[in-house]
Amino acid sequence: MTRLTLDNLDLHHAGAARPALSNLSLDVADGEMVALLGPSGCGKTTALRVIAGLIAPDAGAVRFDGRSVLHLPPERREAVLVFQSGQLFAHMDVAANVGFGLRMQRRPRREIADRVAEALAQVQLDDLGHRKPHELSGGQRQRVALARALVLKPGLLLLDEPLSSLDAHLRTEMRALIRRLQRETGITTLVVTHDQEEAAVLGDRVALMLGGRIHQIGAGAALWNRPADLDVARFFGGCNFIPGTSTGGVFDCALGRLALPDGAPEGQGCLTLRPEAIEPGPGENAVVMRVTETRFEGLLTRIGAEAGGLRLEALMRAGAARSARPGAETLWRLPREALWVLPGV
Amino acid sequence: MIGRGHPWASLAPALCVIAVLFGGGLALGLAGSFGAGRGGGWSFEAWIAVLSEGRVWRSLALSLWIALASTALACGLGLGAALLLRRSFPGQGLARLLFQINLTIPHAVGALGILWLLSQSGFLARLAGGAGLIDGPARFPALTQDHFAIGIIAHYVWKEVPFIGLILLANMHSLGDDPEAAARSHGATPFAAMRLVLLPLLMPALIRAGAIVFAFSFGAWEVPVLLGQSAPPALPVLAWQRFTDPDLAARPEAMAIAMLIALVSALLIRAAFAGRGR
Amino acid sequence: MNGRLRAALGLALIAALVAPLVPLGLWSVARGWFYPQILPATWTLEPWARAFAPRSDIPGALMTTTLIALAASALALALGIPAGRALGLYRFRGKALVELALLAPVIVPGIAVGLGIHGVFLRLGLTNSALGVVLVHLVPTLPYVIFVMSGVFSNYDAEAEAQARSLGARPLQVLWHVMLPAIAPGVMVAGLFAFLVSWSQYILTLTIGGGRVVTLPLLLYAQAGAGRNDQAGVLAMLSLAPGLVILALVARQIGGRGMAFGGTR
Repeated sequence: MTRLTLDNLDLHHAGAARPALSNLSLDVADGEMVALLGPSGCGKTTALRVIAGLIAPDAGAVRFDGRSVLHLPPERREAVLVFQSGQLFAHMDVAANVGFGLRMQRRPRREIADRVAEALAQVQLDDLGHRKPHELSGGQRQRVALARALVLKPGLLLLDEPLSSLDAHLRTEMRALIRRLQRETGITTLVVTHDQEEAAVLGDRVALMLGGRIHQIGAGAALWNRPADLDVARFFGGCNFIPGTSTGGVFDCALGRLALPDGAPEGQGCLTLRPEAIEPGPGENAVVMRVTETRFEGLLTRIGAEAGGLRLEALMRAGAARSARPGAETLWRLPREALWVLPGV
Repeated sequence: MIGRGHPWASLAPALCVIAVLFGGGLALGLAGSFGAGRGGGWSFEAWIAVLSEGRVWRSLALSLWIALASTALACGLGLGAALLLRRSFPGQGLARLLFQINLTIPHAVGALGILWLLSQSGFLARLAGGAGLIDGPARFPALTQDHFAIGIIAHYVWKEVPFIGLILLANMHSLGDDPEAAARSHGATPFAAMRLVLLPLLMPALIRAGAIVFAFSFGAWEVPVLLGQSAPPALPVLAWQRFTDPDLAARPEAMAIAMLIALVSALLIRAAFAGRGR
Repeated sequence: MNGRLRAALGLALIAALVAPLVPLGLWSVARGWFYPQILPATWTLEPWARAFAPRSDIPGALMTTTLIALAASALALALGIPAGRALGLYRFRGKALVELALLAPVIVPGIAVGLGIHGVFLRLGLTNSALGVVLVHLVPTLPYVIFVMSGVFSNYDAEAEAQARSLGARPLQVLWHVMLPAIAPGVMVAGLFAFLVSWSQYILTLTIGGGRVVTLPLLLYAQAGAGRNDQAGVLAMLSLAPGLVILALVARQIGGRGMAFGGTR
């Protein structure tokens, strides 16, 4: 399989206000599945197209196993891109669609038939070889598109929002299928998504892309709880930002002195913690807050509160939130292990 | 032609052909009308001769009459036919099929058919004679090669009513019944809904189709040459007469008349098409 | 409008549409059908036998017309498909002007440009030749093909081509396996109606062919002018045939508008 390296890619579409890719670097290990996560317009689809060879970058390099592939046209790259829409060819039946790439390679008819059958079995569509694309459901189309790529045994699989056109329960099913096939085949995979949960479930690692470059890459939980910068924190729904100074494991701020976890960076910075980490009641790092508003959000209730001119938000279960009335004072505990200091911000 | 090739690269061959044939034809026609290419240098003689000749003006007037009358009748009847054909009645399918068949018929065939239908010894005259309405071919009204160009106009109306009708039917189909239904629910009578809502929505398509009909009925040759009287001839017939005149001095005049025809169509394109997408 | 009135008007419309074709059809199976006979006294297939007899001009004209129309529509497709693709898929500066330039040949009557084109072709040695007639038939057929194909391509998703490249297809393979099958129905409609437009030409054929290139419409007038009405009737019926065949072939592809645009002018 193939190791993918992106080196300082730059790309500015003619007439666009901002660059689509700006100094984009990324390493995907052999056999790894990386989820490229970002809001729409962050350049993630552009990145896939550059890797697939459909667009040339202005600067930088794309390497497969260390060798630059920029001079290769899309059909001669080890990478196969599966388009967001699936892009099944309407005039071909399912089997012809899946066998398309092999026909382009002029493989023997026998071999094509065997490999198509095998690929259709992989995506559990054994009996649908003779259907036309318009006779398939959305989930089936997506699986045909996947089989059409897998049958080529590519070194690198590029999936562009493979689940975005599916409804919720199909999405879970498809997610599991992609995960399983990737494990079985060991094909290096880069999957683009705008959905945090999807990225966390699919990716061995998640790479968060904002404004044309990778801001942070790592395990899903790390991005969630230990953001590299304010943009990352905000992308994951972070809403609590407390300016102050960190000295010897203690954070000095408008809320008083808060105990920090071991190894927190020293100096001026910004303390952040996730709203769902805040707990009601006394204990270490407990602060008195005045509730300003509460909003029911289903399983959890969002509570806004103020202290020392700072506004914090907490997400609590209904039971814990019941006592919170706008105007009331309440005691919030900011658990030490949930605190994260962004230095120098 | 695949991928990111610039659209001009794909357009270039077709545009070159059109430029050479159509552009070149117009340019050489214009040059010819000034006498160029016959070794005599440039002159306005042909234009002066053409524009000061009463025959040319009478031919122009005749062609304008043919085009105006044909276009007005074809648009009116075409609209009526479209309104008729959009609701079902016995024979609707056959009428729609005949509309489509009619579009594929060459003008020359239709014109000959009209001649044999309307002439004083034609099919209608025989039916009239058989019914005892007339007692000889001469008593049948002159409908072809006549002073008012009735035969010519009849041919264009016969050929263009389906053209207009099918374009309007296609437009009505894409508009659907909703605009009129909305008008009806706001208190409009069926006629008011048609006049105040449907017609204005169809108007752009009708104007363009009408312009095409006008240009064709103004400039076609094979129809007036068969169905028209000899004096004055329609303008295109006159141009051809000059073009084939054994006296080569008449050629620049033929070119000048051809340019007159082109000028009228250019004005039409400007009025009906320029400045908007199709 | 009530049903009975609608049916009566429809019947009148049908009669008017068919009427001019009646004498043409009758002459093609008549012998000596003159005033005041309403229907021919003698019904015979003799006009058809004579039309296809060894010394008749009709088989030759049929062949000439067919070959010219085939060549003109093939050329128009070869030039018009790429141009239609450009107009249907891309927005670019000057597009409105290009569309206007392509519309002009449809509107401006043949005689207005034909006389000038005769001058161009005279210099190129193309007058009085079938090749010259084929080329001049591009003036009405090419814009027609371009407009039809532009409509086809505006409903075409060029992303399918990128997907095919990523699956390993080379540019020519993409053209053959992805683009052509997707646009094939449109190409068929454009090609068949370009054929019909060429098939029906009169004045451009006469101007450039100089009477040496004899197509069916020219022969039709010649026979009628010479009083051989039965032969003219056969020619008229022959001239109708491709339109009927083509309509039957493409009945499902057209909604009226596609073909209505050009008709057979």
